[in-house]
Amino acid sequence: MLFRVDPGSSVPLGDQIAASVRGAIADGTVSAGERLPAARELAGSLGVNVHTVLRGYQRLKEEGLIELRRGRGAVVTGATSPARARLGETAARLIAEARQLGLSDEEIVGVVRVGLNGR
Amino acid sequence: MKGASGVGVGARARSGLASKGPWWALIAAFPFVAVLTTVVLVYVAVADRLPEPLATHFATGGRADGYGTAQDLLTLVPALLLISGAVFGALLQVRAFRPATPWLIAGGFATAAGIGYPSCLTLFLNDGVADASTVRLPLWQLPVALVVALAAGALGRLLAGAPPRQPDPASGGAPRLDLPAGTTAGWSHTVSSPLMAVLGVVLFGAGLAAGVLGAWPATLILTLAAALVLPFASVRVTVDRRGLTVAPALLPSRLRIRRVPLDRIKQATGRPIAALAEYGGWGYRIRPGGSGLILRSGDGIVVTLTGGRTFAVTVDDAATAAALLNTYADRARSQQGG
Repeated sequence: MLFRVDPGSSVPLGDQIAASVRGAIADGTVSAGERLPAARELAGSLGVNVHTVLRGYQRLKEEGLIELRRGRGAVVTGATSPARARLGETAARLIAEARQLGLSDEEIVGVVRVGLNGR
Repeated sequence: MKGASGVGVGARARSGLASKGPWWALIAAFPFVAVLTTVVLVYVAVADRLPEPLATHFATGGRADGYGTAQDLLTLVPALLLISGAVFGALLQVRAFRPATPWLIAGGFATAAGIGYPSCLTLFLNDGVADASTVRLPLWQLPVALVVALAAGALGRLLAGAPPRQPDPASGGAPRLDLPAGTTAGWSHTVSSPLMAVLGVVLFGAGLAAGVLGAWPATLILTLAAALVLPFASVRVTVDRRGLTVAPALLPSRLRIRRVPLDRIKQATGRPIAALAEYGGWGYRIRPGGSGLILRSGDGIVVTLTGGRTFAVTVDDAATAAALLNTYADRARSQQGG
């Protein structure tokens, strides 16, 4: 799978790494059970700090897309589906757009809540 | 059956060529060296218990009908190996790998085994016998000798690989990945080989079994072989700003199978690779025009190096990897060119 990072972007590098994995799951390049490169390896590849990679991986773990196991590294979970990953991407886009508009985190959650109540 | 192994001199003559010749000259010379070594080792092991003279020739009934000294045997065997080695060396014409070369190498393997097996058998039959006239050659040893020679030939054919293939027709240009300046990208994928995993486990199991039986040298060799095979069971292929890296997936990343730095890369393509037809088998393959880690047939990255040789590795999503590799190679070139 392809990881892309742009140090010049305003998006944190860890989030960019997470976005790469999310995108790969969404377009089917990466499937359940696949092992992501070790954080140290990926950090070397991209020329970023190991902790940056770990932050990205942690984020994916919170989203339920990967599992982090000691000794086994990061493995794409069986529950992961491309559609689920796409949803995460959409959420990330929503947040990025809202931030550009200068909305605070509270306000972004508020936007989502309004959307939910409206149905 | 005539007990004679002539591997020694031939081997030396061949390895002289091999030191300057290409990789397959080494493979061609190997059986002659190996057979000579084996015969000498067997002789050393049984030398104390041999009768004088030895039974060296047997009538069709299996009865000994020809005798010679161990000295004769140890002269004849190297002489036969020298002559046959020289004949194969002359036929091979070390400079060019031709379609016939794998078959000539196979012939060399079969011949060396055909000389070596009867030689060792003769020594073993005479082992611990007081009177050489009582030595019998079991008739079933004849087909066994034939099978051993054929198996050695098959091994030689496998090691030599397939005949050279024609250079690829220009494979439709080399794609680039759209990567804005300042952006860094890394591509990583694992490829696993059940074949290597099974082979490694079998070798390791055989090593353990040999250990239980007390055959420690065999244990050592089999365990070593398993340790060489198992890292290939799962391999991580990485393409990044440093080039193409192939490393065992389950071991610390410091251990590498191969790294091709960007400045050695002329062009990369992703295309289907046929393991048997193009590389003559699976594993780390070394061919006249290049090498490759071929763990399966199918999608793979083929890198043309600056020297004109190629390095290939079979892995999924190879097109993306090749495109990224080309992009980075371009960047490296433009930096060097000023």
